[in-house]
Amino acid sequence: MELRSYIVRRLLLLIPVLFGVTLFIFGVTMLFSPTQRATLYVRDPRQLADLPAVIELYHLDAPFVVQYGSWVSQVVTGNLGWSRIVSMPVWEAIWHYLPASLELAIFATPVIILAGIALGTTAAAHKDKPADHITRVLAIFGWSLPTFWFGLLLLMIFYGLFRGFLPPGRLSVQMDILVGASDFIRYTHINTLDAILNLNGPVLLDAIRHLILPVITLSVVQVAFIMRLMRSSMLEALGKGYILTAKAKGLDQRVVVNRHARRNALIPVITVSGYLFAALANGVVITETIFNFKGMGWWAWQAAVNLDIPAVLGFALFNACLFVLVNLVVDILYTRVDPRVRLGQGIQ
Amino acid sequence: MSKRFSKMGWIVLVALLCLALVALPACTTPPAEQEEEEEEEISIPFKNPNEFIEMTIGGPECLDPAWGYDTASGQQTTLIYQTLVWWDGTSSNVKPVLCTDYELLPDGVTYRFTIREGVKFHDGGDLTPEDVEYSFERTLVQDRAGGPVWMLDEELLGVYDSADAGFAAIDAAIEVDGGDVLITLADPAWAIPFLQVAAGPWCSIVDKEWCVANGEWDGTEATWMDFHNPESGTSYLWDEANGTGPWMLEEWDPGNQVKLLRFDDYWGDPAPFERVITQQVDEWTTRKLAFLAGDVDCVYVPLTYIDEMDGIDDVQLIKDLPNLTFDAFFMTFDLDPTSDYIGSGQLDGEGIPTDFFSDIDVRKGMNYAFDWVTYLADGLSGEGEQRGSPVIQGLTYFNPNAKMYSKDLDKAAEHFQAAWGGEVWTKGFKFTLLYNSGNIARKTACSILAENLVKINPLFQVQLQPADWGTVMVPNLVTYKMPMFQIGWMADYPDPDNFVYPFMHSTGTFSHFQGYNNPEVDALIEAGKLELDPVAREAIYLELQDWYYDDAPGIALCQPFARRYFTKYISGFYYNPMNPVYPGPLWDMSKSES
Repeated sequence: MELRSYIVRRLLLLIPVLFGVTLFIFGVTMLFSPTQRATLYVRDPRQLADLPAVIELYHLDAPFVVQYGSWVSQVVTGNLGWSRIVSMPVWEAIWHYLPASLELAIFATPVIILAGIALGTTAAAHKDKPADHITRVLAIFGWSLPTFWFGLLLLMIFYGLFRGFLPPGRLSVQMDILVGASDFIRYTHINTLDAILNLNGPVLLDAIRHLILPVITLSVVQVAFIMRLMRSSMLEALGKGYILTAKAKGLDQRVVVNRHARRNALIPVITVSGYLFAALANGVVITETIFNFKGMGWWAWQAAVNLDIPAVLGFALFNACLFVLVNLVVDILYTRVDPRVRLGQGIQ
Repeated sequence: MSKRFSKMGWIVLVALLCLALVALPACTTPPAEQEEEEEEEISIPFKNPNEFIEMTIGGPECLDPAWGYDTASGQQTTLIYQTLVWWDGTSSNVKPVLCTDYELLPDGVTYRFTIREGVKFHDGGDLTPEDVEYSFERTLVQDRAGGPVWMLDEELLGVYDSADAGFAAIDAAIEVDGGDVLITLADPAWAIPFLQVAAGPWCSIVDKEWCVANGEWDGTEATWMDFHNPESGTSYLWDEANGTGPWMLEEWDPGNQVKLLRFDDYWGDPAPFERVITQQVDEWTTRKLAFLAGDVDCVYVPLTYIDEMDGIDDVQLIKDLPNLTFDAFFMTFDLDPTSDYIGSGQLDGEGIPTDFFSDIDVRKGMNYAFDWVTYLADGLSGEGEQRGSPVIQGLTYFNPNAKMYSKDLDKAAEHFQAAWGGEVWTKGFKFTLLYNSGNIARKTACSILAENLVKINPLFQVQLQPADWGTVMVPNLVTYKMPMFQIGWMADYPDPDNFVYPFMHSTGTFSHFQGYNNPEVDALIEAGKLELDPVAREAIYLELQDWYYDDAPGIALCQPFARRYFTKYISGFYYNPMNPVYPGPLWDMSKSES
């Protein structure tokens, strides 16, 4: 199938997906009474008496169809509503918190993928030998680590014990002041990228310093999954007939593994990598909270626990779009890695 | 397997092993050794000499002084904007700020404020009497549902919603007279409370020209209803600010931080800090580490963790600060029969009837069953004192010798034996107590009551249930389904009326939701609100304090104390319970390494 028509078809499928997701979430939130949903607007017990006025003001007691219809009519005009929990429009909140999550995803994903591939290949190549056992044990250990505990441990050691060596947050106070100055242009709000674009070394180093601990925390937990996937995929690839043929022909072991086996073993890893990046870009609430690296995860969590329904719906919309796009990119990459695969037609 | 390829894998493997080796010792340190480590001297380094940095939980809802009713919004508004008057140091009197003088005219209802000259707004505009007039009128015009403007509505217009008074009344309440502004009260009784309210962040003075130029209300009758009771975020001042305060808004990053920058054209003494940065960090460990690393100057410490901050030399702890806050346990007089928390709904040992707490002996029994000593020690870590009524220490007419209940299980038994003709004692009761999940103090209060009740009579069964405030407690509270509930009140202004009304009047914010309705108490409260004679007023509030004890509409829990944690480099803090601005009066504080 032609690439362009395939992309268009996949993007058009986004519409029913978004409709279904938002309808479902809206329906679930309507299970809460108007009074429960009004508590989002009533932060202080002193305001309890004004609940009826709040319900009336925000039409919280209108029928489901009316409320959903009103929301949809606003969305099609670009208005995703107001996120009460962060005091800004929902679209602005997405734009505001996405850079932090993207920055984490951009740095963590390659670390996770490369480490996972390396470890998985090592384990497969040394199957049932000490290297394989050690790798698998470490993988389980990493996978089992509670993110909350591990992140705090790293913080206590590298920030507490070593007196601020690797601090939480996105930037130090002085660098944050510098970034806020008029001569520093925030092109993307991704601090590392903006520092490069502004040719500012100190900001870049400071931003990287603040990324180290959250990236390590995310990587140690996630690398185990990639490692296990890569190991089993490599073992399958190494057991194929063409590998035996390649060895019989006298090809170097490195060539056999890198050019023949690993390329095919990467296919499932590519699939997972896409989802991994999307998941990280969506936000990782625990890591963001511990390291004060507030991104989409923190915002979505706050929205959920406070019944900030417009924010929940906006996040769902973003989430759905992101995963559809990631799926599309992964499908296209598939065809590059495995020439047998044709878009929309499977393996030919 | 190629050496090159395996080398990469081994490198990663070794790196993971190193990480594990680093992590494991921290996991296996015995408790005794950990305690020894905690006793070691911790030196907090001196950093960021020009900034005052606070790390706390929660952030402002908005920066619009007419909208914000939460503490975090008020904190920022107080630094960016100013009011006509403000508290004079630690005294209970106010002093002129944006006025040079004020007086109450002989009619007893009109204040004349002489507006200070030479004051600049942050955008360069000059403060004029018209700005003052506009600021008060704008606040009354906006008057959003659930906001703080009801105080001005009551005192200037005699209503609770400015829409009921109309624009003509709003306009007439504030007038410009040359270089003065005249503010007319609805009743002479508001003469003193008005000055207290006028010192609140909701009476901040804004720049009329700047507001109108940016789409805010233009000051005319024709458009005022367009700006009345707006939805969230529609005000230009929501996230933009232009005040006369010593700091101006540099950046507000919602959820992350607020940065304020020194205003160089400030009319008063220069601000001591170039920047004031308030960072929002939800995780306690992160805040603590930042504080001990010297990256912040002031940190919010939840009660649960105050022990972790003990014994650190470089930490400056200021404690036992009397908050103008009062907590009480309310008993609902007329429960909704569909409540899930009253069991069978009958006095049969499996529930309680809907009017269970309408019996005075039940209420007194509950009071005698409560143990304040344990509550204050375990629930508040000693950070509070018992009070007998909502008229607490720091308010005028507080009676330190007011009658208070104390734990007495025998007296409790006597009252329960008399309750409902003896049926309570013989049949017993069962109901569910809800408390805010994660709130140690409220859980402790519920536990104490439940445990003591069963000691008094094994048939007295109280089940405890943690609940989310927004989704469970509020809907049940406002529909009279909670047999008992705990709520605290923080002063809007330091007048006893601001406390007795919500706790004791039949239409009070909280007493309304418990269904407490005592016409004699209502009459006393209404009389006290408008009484001009201090002697007569004192008598009323002394009597109301006795009423709370005698009628026992609830269990008066405590007046909590506040704490502040600063590094040793911060000085100049002082506390005024009349307006406990958090973290402190930064304009009078300083930071120095020596």
